[in-house]
Amino acid sequence: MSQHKEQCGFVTFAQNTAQVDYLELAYLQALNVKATQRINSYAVIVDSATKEKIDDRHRDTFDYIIDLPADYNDPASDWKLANECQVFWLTPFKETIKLESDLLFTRSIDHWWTAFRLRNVFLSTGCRNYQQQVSDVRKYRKIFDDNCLPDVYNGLMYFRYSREAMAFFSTATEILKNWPELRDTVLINCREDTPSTDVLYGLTALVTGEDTCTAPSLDFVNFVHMKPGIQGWADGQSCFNTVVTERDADMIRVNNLNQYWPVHYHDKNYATKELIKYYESRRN
Amino acid sequence: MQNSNKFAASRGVVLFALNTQVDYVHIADRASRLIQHTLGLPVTLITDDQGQPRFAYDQVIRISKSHDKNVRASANEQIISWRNFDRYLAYELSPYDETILLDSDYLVLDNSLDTLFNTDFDYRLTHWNQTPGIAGNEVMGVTSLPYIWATVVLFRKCPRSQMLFDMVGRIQRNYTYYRALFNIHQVNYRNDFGFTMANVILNGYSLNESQSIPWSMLSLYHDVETITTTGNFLKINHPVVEGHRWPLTTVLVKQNLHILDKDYLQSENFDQFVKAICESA
Repeated sequence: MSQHKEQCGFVTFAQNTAQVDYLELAYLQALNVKATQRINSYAVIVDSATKEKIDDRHRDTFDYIIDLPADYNDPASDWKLANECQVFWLTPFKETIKLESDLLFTRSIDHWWTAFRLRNVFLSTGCRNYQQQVSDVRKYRKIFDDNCLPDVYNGLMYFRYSREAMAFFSTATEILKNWPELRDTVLINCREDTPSTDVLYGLTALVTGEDTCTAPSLDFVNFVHMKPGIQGWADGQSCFNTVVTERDADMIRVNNLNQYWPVHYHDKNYATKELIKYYESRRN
Repeated sequence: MQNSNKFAASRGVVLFALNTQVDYVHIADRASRLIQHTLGLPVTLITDDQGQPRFAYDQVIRISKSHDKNVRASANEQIISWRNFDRYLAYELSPYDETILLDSDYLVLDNSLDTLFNTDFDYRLTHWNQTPGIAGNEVMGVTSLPYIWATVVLFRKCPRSQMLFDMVGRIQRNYTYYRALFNIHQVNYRNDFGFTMANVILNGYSLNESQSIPWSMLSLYHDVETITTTGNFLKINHPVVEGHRWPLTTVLVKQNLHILDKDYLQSENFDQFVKAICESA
């Protein structure tokens, strides 16, 4: 039977750690997608431990709950990134927007699907600060600059069922398998035991041809990254403890500015029970 | 949005001058000579009962004296005080359909503001400011928004401009609240901040830079000794102040200048500079 059940939809991974309940983040995101998007099918990929936490609220909201067949993450690590490449073989959609679970939409991006179809894999390039400006902060991107990697962000990406997409994810899987050797012999100034997905996909884009999986000139395909350094603030200073955040229907307002791009809130404490209740009420 | 084709719209410049220990009226008199010489526009002065203007203003509008004032330390550690709590009245008080609202310490030396009347706008604000030798993004507080300068404001009489000024008044009356909301560091009310917040709120919580005056304002934070003009250039001499690192001379193409040194603006040297400009062709 085909793995694909629908044409278009959103997918995220939820693998809970000791610190973060990623399932709740995915639940919040699913509610948000349902509230803001016309194309709003939503699938979550969970490991066996996280699956045990699924309750009726989740079942009522997620359109698809997909088991992670093999967990390549280090059980001792809080970084659960090693499974991301499997998304190509797990998504129930022919066309998928893969999201990190800590990202919320403030308005419809239905029209982005048309832009995404210019590529079989579409990685968003660059990010924005809360003032909606394209960020020129490079403090988190030294490895990209040192290695001339395309400035891709995995918070939001698109792929469709195609040979090119399969090649992309197969290449990413190979890079991941051979990471220690690549890190030590090919990459400059790289000390990551496990590559972040941004680095992994940046390197994959470089290998498979960045023109085939990025479109930097379509700069509206982008999101607001709430890492404090991107706002020019000190690290360790949560943006949401620093400035006023408000909600106005689906709009998220940060420091009195409406966020028209999706908000990658980064600080997981932003996803409070109260916020979840708010989006539950928006659904009802 | 109001367009520039409105038939026979009256145009003019409005200055506020409310004296403290600084004779702002005297400064406004001199600034008005420059305005009239450069732009040829009528100038209206808004002052209180005690202001004694000597320039032939188009109109002098008297407002009641407010006892509220703000203070700050100047670069040479003098205490400067100013009364800025009536700025939001400019919409109501301006006798013109199209107004350039200026601070009295803004010297009009080119006709760039006049050219803006040929563009479509309800109001235009100064979003960008620069000063020689000092770099940096000017924000209202470490974690606040970049601020607009209320030094130069263009507006047409229209509902949206009225809303802007009404909003500034509301912010001023509730400054404690808005200061907390916008993470503003300074305790003093500043019209710059008032206009910034009003502009953000009025434009659907966005910075609305597309409606700005499309160039940077040039501000001189440094103290000034003399300004002389040679051809199309300005030569600005600064006094030597121990511990300060600015150059002794700044040379600029002749252009509008925002001068913060009130001592200079009240000095005989400034008088001579104004005379030299106004007597030139």
